[in-house]
Amino acid sequence: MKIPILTLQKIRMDGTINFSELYTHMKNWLEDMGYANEKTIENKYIERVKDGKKQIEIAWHGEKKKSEFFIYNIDTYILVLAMSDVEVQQEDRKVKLQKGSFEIRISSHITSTSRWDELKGFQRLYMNLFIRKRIDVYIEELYKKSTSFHSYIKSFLGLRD
Amino acid sequence: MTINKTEKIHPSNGMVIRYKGLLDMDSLYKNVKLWFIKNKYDYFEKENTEKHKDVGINIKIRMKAQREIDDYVRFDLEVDMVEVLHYKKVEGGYYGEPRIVIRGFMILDYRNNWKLIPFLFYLYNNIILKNKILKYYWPKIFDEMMDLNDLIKKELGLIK
Repeated sequence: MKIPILTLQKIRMDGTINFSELYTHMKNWLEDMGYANEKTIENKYIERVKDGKKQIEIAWHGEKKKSEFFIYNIDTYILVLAMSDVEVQQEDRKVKLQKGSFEIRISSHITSTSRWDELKGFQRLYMNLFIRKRIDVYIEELYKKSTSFHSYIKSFLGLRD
Repeated sequence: MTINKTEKIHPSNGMVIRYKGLLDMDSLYKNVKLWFIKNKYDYFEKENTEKHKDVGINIKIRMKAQREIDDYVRFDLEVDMVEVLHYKKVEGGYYGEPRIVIRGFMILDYRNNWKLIPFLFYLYNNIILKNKILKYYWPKIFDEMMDLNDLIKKELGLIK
């Protein structure tokens, strides 16, 4: 069973940001909320250099076991195009930032565990009736959690929220 | 008129608002979002894009909201700030050239309980429930869509 909550919500920013800071903050958020750990979060990291500009693709999968039957999942996909380093004067010092096109997509869904899938017959019917209300609570909780992650990224990038 | 699973409430291209002049994007964004929350819609932001250019910032925000009216009918409203061009600070505020599209949909049987028996689904919508759909649900979402339209026009200082 899979219940989609957010589907590829897109945040895009063409401009100058501190990319390594964004990367660290996003990763830390997922780790702090219990969705991932340093070793398992990253499914993909591809970096290509073309004409001195970087193109980066990153995919993260974060999951958190909610109960013996259900798991919360948050997927993050980051695409960076034409990224180059620039030096910006901030007050009395020069800071190295990154200029380019930054796109982040967030999806979230609830999946059932193998224990749920193994339930059969009356047991399943009973659990279906019993657990329906709880699923609504889970949907609301993951909706709030994943939109707060979305808002967190927007506020970091200085976008409206 | 046959009633289908998804009924469009808006005109074919959506309700389009175009404007050039002073506007406050922060207030527009905040108030539209607040309207959805006040009216008990679940809010989703499909896209939030900013492109910083020499002539100003180009913004694109696609908002979507859903409200389950009962177990059978759901209202979907979309506000696409398709393009807000050249958003920049000028004397007296901010200037921008927005194009905003509002769309409204009424989704019947959003839980897909009737999926396997389309004939009964057709009968239910077009005979049994028809009166309620046309006299209750349809005007309700239409009014809400117009209310949202008024809010956006008010924010832009346009004539309602």
